[in-house]
Amino acid sequence: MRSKLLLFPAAIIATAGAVQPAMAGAQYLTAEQAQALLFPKGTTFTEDFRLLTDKQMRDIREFSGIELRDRKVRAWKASNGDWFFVDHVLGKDDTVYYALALSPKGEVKGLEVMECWELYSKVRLPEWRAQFKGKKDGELRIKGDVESITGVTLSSKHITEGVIRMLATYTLVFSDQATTAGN
Amino acid sequence: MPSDLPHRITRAKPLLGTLVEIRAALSDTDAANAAIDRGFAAVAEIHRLMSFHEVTSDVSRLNREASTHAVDVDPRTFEVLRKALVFSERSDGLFDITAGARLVTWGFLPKPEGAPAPSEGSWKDIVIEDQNRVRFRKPLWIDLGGIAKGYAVDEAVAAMSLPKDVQVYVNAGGDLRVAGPLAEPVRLRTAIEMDTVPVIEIEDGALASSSGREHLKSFKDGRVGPHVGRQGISVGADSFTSVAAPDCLTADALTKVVLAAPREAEPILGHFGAIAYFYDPSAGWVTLGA
Repeated sequence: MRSKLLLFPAAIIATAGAVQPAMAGAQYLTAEQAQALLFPKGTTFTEDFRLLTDKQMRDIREFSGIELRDRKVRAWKASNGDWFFVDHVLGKDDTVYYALALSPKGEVKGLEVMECWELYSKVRLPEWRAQFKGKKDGELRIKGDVESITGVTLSSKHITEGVIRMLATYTLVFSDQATTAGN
Repeated sequence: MPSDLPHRITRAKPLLGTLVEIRAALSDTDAANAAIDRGFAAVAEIHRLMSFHEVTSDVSRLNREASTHAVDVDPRTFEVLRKALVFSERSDGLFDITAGARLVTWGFLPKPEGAPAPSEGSWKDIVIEDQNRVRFRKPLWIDLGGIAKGYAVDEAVAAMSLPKDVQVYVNAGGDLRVAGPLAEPVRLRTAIEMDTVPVIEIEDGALASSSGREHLKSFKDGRVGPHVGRQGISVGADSFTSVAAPDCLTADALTKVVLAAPREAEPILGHFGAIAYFYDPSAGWVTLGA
């Protein structure tokens, strides 16, 4: 185990344009990559996006107890009978896009986070970082962005709430039960 | 993205109440995804066993029953409990999993369902009866939140079982472990105003951080953070620490000790081969241990 603390003067970073004060984050998967992970090889997908009616939004809100912001539901029917959804949730400090696979009965078959954006500045390690090289015990071996973060923990409660809301959406709008009820 | 690395795959899932991120640098995408799946499965297992919130977890069963009879637990829960007691002993109670009761009082944890009200107790009231068998001398509410996340990270890295020359990275909401040939630069999110941007480079080891700052709550006449020190007082509300250690369970546990008493922590850090980077607004950054 080897570790080292580096303190970058905020002023230098600001001059070098190394801090992006806007949204920073990680893109883990595209929708296609998430589909490939959540479904057997060879599964095909048929887009089935829906716009929720006011009544459906009210029902989902009541059924799940979770607030709804987006009228649009991004859904795909998979050739194996399952469903694939892409949804996003807003946390206190972050926005998360995730993919959800549901069985026809509305059971969660899998979840993959696709993107996570934080309202937090990302640190880039450009050339000026060379000035820290060899200062203490050897040179810095990584170039590029600092992608990893430790410290104050982000909660995942909003993702759990998103899944509960999507399950209600599935039951009330997409399932056989919803279809036969003439929704 | 660093250009001198092989193809890397990073995925994230919501587990342990936070976002868990796992990365493997392997050019074989299927092998990388399979390893990452094994990592997530291991983390989910630890969540199932050690969650304070899930009524069926070992922790919930212990809180409900261990004061009346000895309770059989999963070997992994047993290992975490045994190690928790080692940290309690070494730190003379600065690390104490029976702080769960206090965290419920302060509103950081929900009241455990069906568990008898806890009495004034400590880690000394936890009795290892036998292999995988634990009893409490009195009703206690234990919480493994200060150690299980680190353990889950270690378990994930072990479950991935990739060769030593493959760069692996597991981060459970800031408790992280890096394995493989390269150092990983890690930004510290301190929630404290500073005039520098702190970054820790960690190579073949673990890093965990704690700060009471972001999660302060009002309680009675004052403010409390989610860290309990001696005499059950809230500690670390204005300070921050990152601990680097050979494994993540150790790093995770020691952050609580450093936050509670940075000076007392020094020899303890040394004992476990760990280093703490500690910040408080009056002293600035101080390096402790090893």
